[in-house]
Amino acid sequence: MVTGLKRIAFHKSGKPRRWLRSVVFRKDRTVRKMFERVVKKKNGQVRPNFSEWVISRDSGREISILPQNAPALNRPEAFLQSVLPLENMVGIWRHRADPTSLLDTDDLLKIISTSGQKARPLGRSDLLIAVSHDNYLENIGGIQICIQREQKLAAAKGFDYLQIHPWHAIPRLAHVDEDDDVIIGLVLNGNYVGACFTSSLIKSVKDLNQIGQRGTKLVIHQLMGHLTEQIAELAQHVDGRRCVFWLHDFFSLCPSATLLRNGLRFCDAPPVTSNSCGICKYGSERIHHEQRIEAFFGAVEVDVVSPSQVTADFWQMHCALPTASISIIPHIVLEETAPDISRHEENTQRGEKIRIGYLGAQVHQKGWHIFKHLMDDPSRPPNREFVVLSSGRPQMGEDLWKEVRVSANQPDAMAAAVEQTDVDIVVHWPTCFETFSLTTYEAFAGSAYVVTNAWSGNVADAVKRTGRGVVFENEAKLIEFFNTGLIEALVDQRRKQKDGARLRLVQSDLSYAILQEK
Amino acid sequence: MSKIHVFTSFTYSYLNRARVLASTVRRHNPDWVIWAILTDKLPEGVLLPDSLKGFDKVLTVEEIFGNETRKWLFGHDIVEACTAVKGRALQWIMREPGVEKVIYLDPDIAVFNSLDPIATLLDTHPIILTPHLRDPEDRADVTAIQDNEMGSLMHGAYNLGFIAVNQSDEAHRFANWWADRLHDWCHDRRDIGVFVDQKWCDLIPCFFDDVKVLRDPGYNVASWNLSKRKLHFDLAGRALINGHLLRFFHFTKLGPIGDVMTRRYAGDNSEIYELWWWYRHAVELASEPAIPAGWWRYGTFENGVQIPKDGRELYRVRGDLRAAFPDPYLSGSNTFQEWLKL
Repeated sequence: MVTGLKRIAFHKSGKPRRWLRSVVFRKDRTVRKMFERVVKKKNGQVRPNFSEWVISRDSGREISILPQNAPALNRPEAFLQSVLPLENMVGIWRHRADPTSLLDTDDLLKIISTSGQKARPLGRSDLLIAVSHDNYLENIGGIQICIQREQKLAAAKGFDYLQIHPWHAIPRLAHVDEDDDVIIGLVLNGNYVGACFTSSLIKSVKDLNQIGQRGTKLVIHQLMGHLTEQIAELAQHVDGRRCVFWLHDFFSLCPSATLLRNGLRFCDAPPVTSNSCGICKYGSERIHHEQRIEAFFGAVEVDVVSPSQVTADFWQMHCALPTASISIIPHIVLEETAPDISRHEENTQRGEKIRIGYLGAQVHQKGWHIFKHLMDDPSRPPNREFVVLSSGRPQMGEDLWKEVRVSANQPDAMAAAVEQTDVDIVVHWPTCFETFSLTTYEAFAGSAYVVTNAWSGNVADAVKRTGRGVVFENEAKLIEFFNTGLIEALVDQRRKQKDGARLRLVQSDLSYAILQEK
Repeated sequence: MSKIHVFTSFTYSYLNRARVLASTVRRHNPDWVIWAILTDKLPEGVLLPDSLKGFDKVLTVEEIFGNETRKWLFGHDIVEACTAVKGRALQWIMREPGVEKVIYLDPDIAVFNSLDPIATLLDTHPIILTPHLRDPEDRADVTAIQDNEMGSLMHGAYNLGFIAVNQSDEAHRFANWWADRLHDWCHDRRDIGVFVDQKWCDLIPCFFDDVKVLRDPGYNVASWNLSKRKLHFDLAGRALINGHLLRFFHFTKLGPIGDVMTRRYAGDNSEIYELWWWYRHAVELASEPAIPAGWWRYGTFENGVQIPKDGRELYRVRGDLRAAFPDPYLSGSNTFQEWLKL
């Protein structure tokens, strides 16, 4: 009976059938309240079978939807028809009812003063408060993965890890005239513990500080959905009245964290009075946003952390915010290892075939349209093979698809898949500046080369630094490269290099690298 | 008070667009005086005391035409009426003390950068016009030749969404001539070579000296010239048309028709679609829900029945009807409406 029901509800692959999805999810792909426990575990984490159906709101990027529904940005008019004014988006995002109960200052004080990790190798019992834009247990994206890793490292580093996020995720800062005390959700050491007003947390951290029981540190991954004024007040009660501020994206420059004007084109963060901002859906919000970020940096000692040098350079060139320090801490570094002699024979056997890969979600923002164009080009030479490595099934070319799921338990899954599939060239053509690009590092660690564009931020920078790939000025140059012998020369170089020293991914200490210095 | 005055002409159904125009002129030329020329009245019971707040001065068709307003206006449809008032309005503003330069902009225009170069050009030119086209279409592009070049031959070479004049004798001579023609002949009669206020202006370079035909591609960008004009934003975020600053864009025919023409000529120039996206939402924000869609007080008889185009033409050409029915908008017995059997 149970098996029969299961068959009615789920595909053989374990994925929910269409009818079940329509029952469980609202039209905007958020989970209906009565099905929350079906989709999510007790700790709030989304069950794997449902993970790709839950809407992700990734750090201010345009709402990330399933690959097959990705907007066709090569038809800008059609795409823009779906673009809403920012305040309309805020209304849609703010769909969630307020929590039924809120923790008060006493509850919070009990929680944060008694939650100590067992392992404290450094003999410390500090509390790290990490600020971000959503519940990292529910949504998957670059920042969320970073927070997951940071939280898992916390015990070893001697911290309790309290992540706070706005209860109502919204795609901009909160406005004091609509909400003067933001409700936040709290995740302590990987477990959701409840919600409270930000003012309650501020009070309890202040009390904790006065008791002197433990130190408190503040790390800001994302300010979206918060009141900068409240986070600045929180910072006044943590150690040294300072915070670590990550440049995972450019939200500190503009509410359009990816600096995509109207979600369509990289804008390079021009002056807020420019024509570009004047026609952008984020333009009018940016005026106040800039002022509030400036006030925040003026009120708090800020140790800025950038995942790449090129990001730090860009950020400094586009703003003049006062900082206590600026450091470069890549999420991951590449380390050279000994050559793998056993692979040499396989390389030789593959002969003239050139394998071109695409990694991750098939979305325009990552250059899926370019990869698809290369794949569909009827004039392409016959010795090209295409492969897609991702968690989501691509709309076309399924026979070329290989499922890969990266998780905190399997952080190297993509690099291993690139290696196993023996991809020569990864096409990674983002439409905006990438502050780090895990994809690029995964490709390198899998011994592939990367082709990208000049505006891709750390992708282009990493390619230039390592010499493992080519940076093109425009799409026409990339296409020319693929249709001429130039690609063969690059593949030869890559295969020779593959037989030599190899690279492996080494995870960094993230915020702890700074916290333990200060 | 500034010596440079800008005016636009509209009915309440275009109030939202006119507000966007006024706000964008204000942003880039904050000291200029902005006039609203209004050929309309609000629906009964609708009170919008701040509806024209963005304008420095308001001039109504009743003020301009006095006692003859209703008789004269009845002979015009909405487009004819809003264009016909432009001549007399220009004369009116030119007579205001202290005015040195006057610029007309259609309500469906938005300004993106300072219009100071126009003011400078008016130091040496009495009249400035912008052509619909500044570059010929490609010979093989028959559709573009038909839409844009033949369209210009049919409707007028210059787009009268814009005209600028100074206070020279030549400019006054022009204003007087134009006001006369628009009073008597501002109709959509392409069958006799007349197209509202616009086609008349093909004669301007023949009748008047030192006319400036402004060929800078950043002025009066619209769907009819997009085949030869490309928009992009530079690193400073400036909107550039073929490398020149975008001064103003003419968002003609907001809606499906405008979309079709934009799609036809903007091609993959995504920035143009962004501009339209912004305009569509700016107009929405500037809209007054209390004003019914398509509202025009002078579009119907007193009892709300739509005035037919041929009824207007008949009244316009027949002196006996004008004498018999001095107020053609009335409903009931012994009215023009009854005579028309409507």
